[in-house]
Amino acid sequence: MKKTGFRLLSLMLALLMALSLTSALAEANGEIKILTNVTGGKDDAEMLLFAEALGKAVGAKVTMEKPAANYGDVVMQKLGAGEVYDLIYLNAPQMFYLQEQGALTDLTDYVKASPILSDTAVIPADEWEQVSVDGRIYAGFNKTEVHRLVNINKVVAEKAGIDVDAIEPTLDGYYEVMKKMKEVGGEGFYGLNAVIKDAWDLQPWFASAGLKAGQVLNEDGSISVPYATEAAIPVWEWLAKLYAEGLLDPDSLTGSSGDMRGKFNTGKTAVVVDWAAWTGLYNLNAGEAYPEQFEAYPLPGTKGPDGNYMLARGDASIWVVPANAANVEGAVKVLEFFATQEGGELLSLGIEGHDYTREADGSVTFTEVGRSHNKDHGAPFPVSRLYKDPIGFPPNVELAMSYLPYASIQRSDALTDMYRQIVAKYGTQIVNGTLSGADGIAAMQEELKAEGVIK
Amino acid sequence: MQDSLRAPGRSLLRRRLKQYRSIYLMILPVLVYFLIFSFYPLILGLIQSLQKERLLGTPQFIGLKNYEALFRDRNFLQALWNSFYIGSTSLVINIMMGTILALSLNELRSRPAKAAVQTVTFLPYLFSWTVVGGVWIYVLSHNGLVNGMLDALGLERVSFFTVPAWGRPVMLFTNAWKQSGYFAVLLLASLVGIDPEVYEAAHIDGASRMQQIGRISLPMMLPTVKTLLLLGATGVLRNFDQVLIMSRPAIKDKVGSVLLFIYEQGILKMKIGLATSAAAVVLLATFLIALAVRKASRYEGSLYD
Amino acid sequence: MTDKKRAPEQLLRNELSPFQKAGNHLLLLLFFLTMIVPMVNVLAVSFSPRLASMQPGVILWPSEWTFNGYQTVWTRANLSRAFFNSSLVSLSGTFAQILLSSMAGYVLVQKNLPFRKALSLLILFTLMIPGDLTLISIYALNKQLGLLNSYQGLIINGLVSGFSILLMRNYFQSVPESLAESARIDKASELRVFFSIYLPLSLPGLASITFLEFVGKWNALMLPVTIISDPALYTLPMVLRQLAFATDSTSGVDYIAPNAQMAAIVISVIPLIILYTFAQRFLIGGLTLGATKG
Repeated sequence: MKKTGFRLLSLMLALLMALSLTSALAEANGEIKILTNVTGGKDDAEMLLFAEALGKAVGAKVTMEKPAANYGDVVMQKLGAGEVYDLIYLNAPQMFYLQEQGALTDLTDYVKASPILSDTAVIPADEWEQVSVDGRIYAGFNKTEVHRLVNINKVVAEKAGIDVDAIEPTLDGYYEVMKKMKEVGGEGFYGLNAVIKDAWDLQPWFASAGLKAGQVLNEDGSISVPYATEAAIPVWEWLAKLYAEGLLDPDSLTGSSGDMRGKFNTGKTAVVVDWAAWTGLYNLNAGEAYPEQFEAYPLPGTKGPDGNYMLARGDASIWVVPANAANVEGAVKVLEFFATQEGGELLSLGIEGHDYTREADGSVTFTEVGRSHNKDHGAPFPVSRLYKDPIGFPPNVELAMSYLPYASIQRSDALTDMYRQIVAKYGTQIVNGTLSGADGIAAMQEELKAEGVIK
Repeated sequence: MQDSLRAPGRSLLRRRLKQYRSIYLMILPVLVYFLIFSFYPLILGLIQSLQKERLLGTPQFIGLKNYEALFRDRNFLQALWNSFYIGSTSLVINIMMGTILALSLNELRSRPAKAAVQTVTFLPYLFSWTVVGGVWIYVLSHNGLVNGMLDALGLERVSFFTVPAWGRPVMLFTNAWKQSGYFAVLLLASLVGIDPEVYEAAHIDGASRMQQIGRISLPMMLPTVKTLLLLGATGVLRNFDQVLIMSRPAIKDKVGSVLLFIYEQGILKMKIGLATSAAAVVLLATFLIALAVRKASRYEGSLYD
Repeated sequence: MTDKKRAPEQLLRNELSPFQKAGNHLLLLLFFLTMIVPMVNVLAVSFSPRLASMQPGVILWPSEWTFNGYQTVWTRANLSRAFFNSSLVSLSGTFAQILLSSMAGYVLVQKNLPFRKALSLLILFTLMIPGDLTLISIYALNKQLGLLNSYQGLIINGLVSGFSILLMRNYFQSVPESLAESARIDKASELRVFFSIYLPLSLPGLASITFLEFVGKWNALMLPVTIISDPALYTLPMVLRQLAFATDSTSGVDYIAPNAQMAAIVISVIPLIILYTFAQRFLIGGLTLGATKG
């Protein structure tokens, strides 16, 4: 009697254990649906490989969907029609709009509970502010956002007798450099090329007056726009001087970043302001012309009155978890994975075996396909600050990245696009001489007030 | 007594309906399609415009608040006016250019030349504004072709994209340049249908070719022109791609279109309430414009309806 | 009798005067030269090497001829399947659309049809609905009807176009009613009148609209992006857009050089140009009412 009772009990116990084990496995093998825009494979075949690799790493079935175009429209359509996703790729500004509507899951507790995400060595504590509203976290990171800085054409600089490491970090210093380079640059060569229509890349110059780009939150809670204050007049007038003397490419007032990059890369410009990652890309694009005929060299721009450089970082690219997500834990696991070494490798190098191969000694070589993807499958600079790049960076990128400590994020809110348009509109007119610096600033202030950007 | 007086009208209608039964059948699939794919989504969209946006979860009904906010927004009203002004002027210019092009092509005697020119003039329509706009921005840039020519002629260079006064002319010109081939194709179709005997008769009566064009070709093209005007009226406020590519901050006040406004303030900011209510305003405005065009062209005194 | 003096040759040929002809040719030359520039530019850049294609300005001749741009596009995307998808959807969609639209146009030409004006207005109205108004509802509708990620979805959306309907009505209006009347007297059905009288006599218009609708369907991006998420069903513009116009990634370095972008555009546009050269036979004429002369 006791024996059968015992056997029955042990059988039941075994059954119970087996059940809990399978359910634990089933939970671990959840399904994660991801809507992505940039991150992932480059074509649909590669996207499947990517999803597979990601799924293996987090122990789940991962499906990744990437719309062919009109990402903003598609996100609205999917959410509006009630589709379920666990992770959606966005830019930081868009996150705020969705959070306002209550469409996002609060991730604060998940992040705190995660050993990887809450480790400040991996992700510095103040980074989380970019994705927080009222102290609550609503998104995870896709990559480490890099900064923009000055890129100079080293070959032409040397031809003009300039030592790029010894350039005086003031507006006058750069003015002299551009003037000298223009003399040897040849036909159609300009000292500076910018994208003024977006008011996008002027921080290194405004640093000379200690003015931060964008909208700045004051202590009393009000917003001000440093670029539109009287202290900014000298910088605007410097730009106007460059324009008047033929040192600033007139296309800066109307051209896009693509135009600017094309001109710099083909040796038609002395100085531009662009992403740190692009320093390397410029050199890669130059192909055989590097380094004899072309070299992009990074510089931190001008120094402010306090003796410091000031650079701008981009808006964070992030992942949000919609409020109707089915598998929040799975989503968080993916975010954790992105912040690890393996995750960083997947998001930058690509898929092992497809984009690169790993030798027995641990070294990594690109395949033909991998090389053409420029080490960017969503995160050329992965999230984790502890990430060790196994392959090394394109020329001069490490130097460019060394200036990251000088960079900060701009505030982004519902009126940011209005701020940009107004600054660009009157900035254009100051630069091309239609308005004086003082008049231009006054006009900026007036319209910024009218639109409610500043009080 | 009354019945027998009313009866003729009603029974005429009934008779007509019966007579045209098979005709109605021919248009039935079309009507069903429009019901499902046009009117149903339209109603849903209008309902969304009356709600406070909530992409996930149940939205809250707020009536006309979205509309109120729109009409208080100076930028929306400016964009609406820009769209109307540029769109309607564009339409007229484009049709005129299309007519000129069609007539010119029709006078070409050599078949291969006709084919070549017709293909090439149609090309700008095939390319998206991304390509075409980019080319024009270069051509009109400070060191571009046009300014180069102005230089050579001893004139001052023009900054086409940073001087507000040039904003609209640039848009109108490039739009006409891109669209005339398209309109020419449709207008040419009405030209080739004209019986050559009519021309011959006029020729024998001593009319010159130009006179024939004026007295025969143009009037025969008029119904198509009117149709194109009416159809074009439905698109007057819908300039988006061109403005997205070619607008610049200095000229945006003059050329910023209402669809661009919807894109920047609605789509990019995930504000579906704003997007749908602004779109509804566009719909209403378009309807009024189309009605006006319809009335005006009927007033011309033709059989057109 | 005419008072105008005319050169003897002109009494025989019905043409413009030599002066007017020259003016006409000049005008057309102007059109031709300005409008061919983008095409030449796109072609030239597409055959340029990677770095050279980044040169600013309008390039009209490659500094060095290479297929590099096309190779980049070819290796990055499955074009053959996309081409098949586009062809299937555009051809069947256009055929169905022209059939339905021209029938509807025919209906609207019947003078005494009750509610004719209302129908026309209704159809005109459908052309006025902005896409933003139906952005979400169109997606939701297709989802309800099970048309997402399917060829049927791509074909059925846009099955009818108010544009084609009203244009066909316009071309039908120049067909003499007497022909239809006599056919009806001979007990011909409406369909027969439509197919054997109205359609053949409006062939130039029909051909033009068919071609334009095909172009529209071929180039369509908004609708396919809305309802298709399965890459196996991507149409050609979707594939090319996805690879050649790298997204608005803030600091991404996955860069597609202009030569590849232009190669993608050329690939997308060439079929349309080829089609147009064939279709021109119907468009230029030779199909006129009545007898042909010489």
